[in-house]
Amino acid sequence: MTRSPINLDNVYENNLGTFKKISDTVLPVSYPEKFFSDQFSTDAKQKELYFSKLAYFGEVAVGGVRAKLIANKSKGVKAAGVYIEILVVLEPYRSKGIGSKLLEYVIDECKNHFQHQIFVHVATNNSEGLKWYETKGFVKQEELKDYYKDTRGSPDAVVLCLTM
Amino acid sequence: MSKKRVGLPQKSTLLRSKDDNNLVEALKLYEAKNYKKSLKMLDGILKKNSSHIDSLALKGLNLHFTNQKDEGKTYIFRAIDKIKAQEPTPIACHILGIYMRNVQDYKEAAKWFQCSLDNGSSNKQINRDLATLYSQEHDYGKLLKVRKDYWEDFMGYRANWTSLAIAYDLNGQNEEAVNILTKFEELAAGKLGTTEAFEHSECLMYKNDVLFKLAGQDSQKLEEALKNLEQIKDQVFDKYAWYERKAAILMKLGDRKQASKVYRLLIKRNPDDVKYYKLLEVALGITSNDRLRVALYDRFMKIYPRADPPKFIPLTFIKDDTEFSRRLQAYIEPQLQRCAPATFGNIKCLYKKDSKRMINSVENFVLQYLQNLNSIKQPLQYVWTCYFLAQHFLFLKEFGKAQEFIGNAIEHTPTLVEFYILKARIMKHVGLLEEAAATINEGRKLDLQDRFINTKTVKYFLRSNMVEEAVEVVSIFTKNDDASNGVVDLHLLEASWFICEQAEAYYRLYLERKRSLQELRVQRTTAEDDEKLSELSKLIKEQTYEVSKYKGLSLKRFLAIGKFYKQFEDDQLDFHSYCMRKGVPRAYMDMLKWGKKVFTSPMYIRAMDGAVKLYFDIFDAVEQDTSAIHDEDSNLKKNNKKAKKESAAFAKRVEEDKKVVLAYEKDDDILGEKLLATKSPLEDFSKYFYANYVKEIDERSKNYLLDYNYHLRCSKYALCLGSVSKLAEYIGRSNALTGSLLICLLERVTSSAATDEVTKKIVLKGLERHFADFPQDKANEEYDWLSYFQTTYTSEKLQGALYLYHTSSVFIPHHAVKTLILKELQNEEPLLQNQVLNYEL
Repeated sequence: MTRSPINLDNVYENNLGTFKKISDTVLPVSYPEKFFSDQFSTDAKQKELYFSKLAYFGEVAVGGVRAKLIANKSKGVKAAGVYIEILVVLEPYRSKGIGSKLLEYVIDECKNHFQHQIFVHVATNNSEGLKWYETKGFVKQEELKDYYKDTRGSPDAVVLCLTM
Repeated sequence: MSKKRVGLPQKSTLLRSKDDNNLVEALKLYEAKNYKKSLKMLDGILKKNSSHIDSLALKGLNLHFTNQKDEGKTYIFRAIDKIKAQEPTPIACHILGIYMRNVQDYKEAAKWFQCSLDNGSSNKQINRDLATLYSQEHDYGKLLKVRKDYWEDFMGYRANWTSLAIAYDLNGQNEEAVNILTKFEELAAGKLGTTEAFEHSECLMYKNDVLFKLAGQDSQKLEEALKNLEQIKDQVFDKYAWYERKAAILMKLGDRKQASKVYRLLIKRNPDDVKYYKLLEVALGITSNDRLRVALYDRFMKIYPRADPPKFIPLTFIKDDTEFSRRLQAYIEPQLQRCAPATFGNIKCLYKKDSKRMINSVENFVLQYLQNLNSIKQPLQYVWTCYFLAQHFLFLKEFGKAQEFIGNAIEHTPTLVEFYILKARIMKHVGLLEEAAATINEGRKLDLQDRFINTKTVKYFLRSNMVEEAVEVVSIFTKNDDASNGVVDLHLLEASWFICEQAEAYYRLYLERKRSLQELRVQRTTAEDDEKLSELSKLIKEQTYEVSKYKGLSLKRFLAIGKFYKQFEDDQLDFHSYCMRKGVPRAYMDMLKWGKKVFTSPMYIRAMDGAVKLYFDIFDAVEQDTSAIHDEDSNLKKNNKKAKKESAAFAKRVEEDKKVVLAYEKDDDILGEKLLATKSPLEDFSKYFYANYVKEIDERSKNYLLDYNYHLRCSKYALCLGSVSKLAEYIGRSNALTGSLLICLLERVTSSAATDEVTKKIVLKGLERHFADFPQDKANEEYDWLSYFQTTYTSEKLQGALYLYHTSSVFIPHHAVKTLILKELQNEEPLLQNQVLNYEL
């Protein structure tokens, strides 16, 4: 019996740097340090529910996901559900089922929290990403102009949604 | 061990005076650590009888323990003075002994303990304490006597028998040692419980050690040792030691066949220990027959397929190139396949032997291997092979290629810490120290709880003189209870790696600041308007402070390391009795052996080499009496109010600095100013470092250059000659360092007016005898020393020229040496180039 080389593990405050590194390498958008450390914010008011994991190939961290639960509050602008903020896999490690595993994790968390929709923003010129989400059953919704600020890629984004 | 117990006198109460009765009370209070009450009692006695020796001594000791060390010392010395005048009393002597032991003057302590015994102390425990002190001082003759006395009084403890046997052993009386151990074994036979089994095992094995030593080459005695070994087999737990001894005896007896069987057994127990394979080769007598060796290792490869040595050892001796290549490939490939990070480390030592063949084989095979890898299908193999190749090219100093490979690896997988470490290392060699530090820091951020990379990052920061950043990073892993950062903790933890690196960083900063201070002073001489002048003066004042701060801190840190090693030596004290009680005589003997080499540890030597530069610097400054320009303040006095404000701000800054660099909790010389103010730098150096080093270092590994420099400054030129001829013996006569030392010596002897004629004659005669080719007769004429130096001394030119640059000033013009250095420097790697350019010239 061979064990799958792909494993997920928690993101901790100490290896947040690894998560940021993968995100910075893969995404054209560079998020500020604070964006990442928000997850471990001790400020009760800002406390939000994040689902995050690092994906390991062998013992090397090669991908990661961070999603946020957007509770069904009447005032909220964003629709209720789980919103994937980041889902990345280093380029040489793609097509190995790592992304799927990360998405599976988000779907599981979604079910655990009785949510029915998963949202994600993808840059319009990220065809590889768009294709991947669509094969996973995501459906294109609206297009947002100038969504990304500090980016090397296209500033426009497409909203995709997976309904369960 | 009751460290501070003073035995009460056994005289009958009737004979005691009232004072003595009170003293007994005071002693009891002292033993209960009730120092204050004890002091009160003693003051009572001393009021009536100010020359009561026992009370004086005890008062001194009490004061010592209540943090009034100086007062304590005066009382102790008053007691000593009194003892010299009158009859010594056993109690006073004992107290003095305890005091001396507490201030770590073990020789004096032993003297007083002995004195107490000689003057009729009936306290038998003194013998034990005394034994500890004699052991610490390596005074084995006296040790034997006190161990024996103590043993006679307390035969009921095994520890005392073991101690006595060790004392005999240390005195070379091996037979007595064996007798004592045997006698105890006989007495104890059948009475030992399971709790004593380990002690018994150790003592039995120790006895065999002594028997083995005793036997030498005597076959009959060796047989006896072997017989003893077989007898104790079931009781000895340390099976490796047992088998190793058995094999060693068999080898000495010439029974190689049996010995080889034992070695095979040892290999079976641990097939990864290279040592046993080598010994087996000797036992089989095949060390010079490569064919048989290969066959042997091939057999072992089949028997222990997972063990490393059978695969590796043949690579160290196989001569045939294709065979070597084949085996190397077979050795490396599986490791690359399973992505072992240490693959390069495993084969690194093979480069030394036949580097050309090695390089060819590695490059042929590994580059090919990499090409066949698919970076998508075998991503991990791909990156680790890149990592391997980067290390390979770094080792060959082909920095460009190394950078390329590690760059590929990082681009492919940016989340592996090892890659950042290697990338930083390559940058370091290229001379980009700050970039290297930034790179490794980037790697550190991937995983903040990785202690290894934390430490590495700190080192890289220090190498690029970024002390503040280093302290910040290192403090992540320290407690920082009462201090603003981890420096105090690191001193407490004796973290010499950090302290030594910091000392060296401070030293470099000191040199940098010193240079810029000189530049500022030059600028001031040409400055014209007042504003510019006062501006410069302010800068100079600041820079002067920085120069002294970094110099002081550097020296202080180096000395801290000296202190650690002194502490290591002192720490042995407790083990002279502890090891006996625990019944670990073998470990104890190892410790004694280690204890004799404490001051030759690499870190101690490194700190000494650092400190000596500063001490010589202080010494040379005193010699030249540059009477440091003191006119700095004069210009500032004009504007009094402004000056006051400035000096207040300055004082505040110094206080801030002190908080950050604090090394010990209570310290009255945080910046090391007192250390720098020394009037006797050479004596200080000897006291803190050199004397200990010279005491323990062996002839062969002694640093004769340091020896030479030290004697040169002490103006002991005859000794200099001795050092340089020793050095020439080891590094060769054509080594440029030998040449530069000879030239400097001749220069000193002939051109210094202070050299007396006798010395001069001795040195010149000596030069003639030891270095007949050296043109010493040219000292007083026009002679082209430079071309002599260049043509005669062909190796290590850079080192020699640098020495000339710093020390010589008469025979060869400074600028000529500088040109020579620059020329030699061209062939060196960038790291060294920068070092020399920044800090040496």
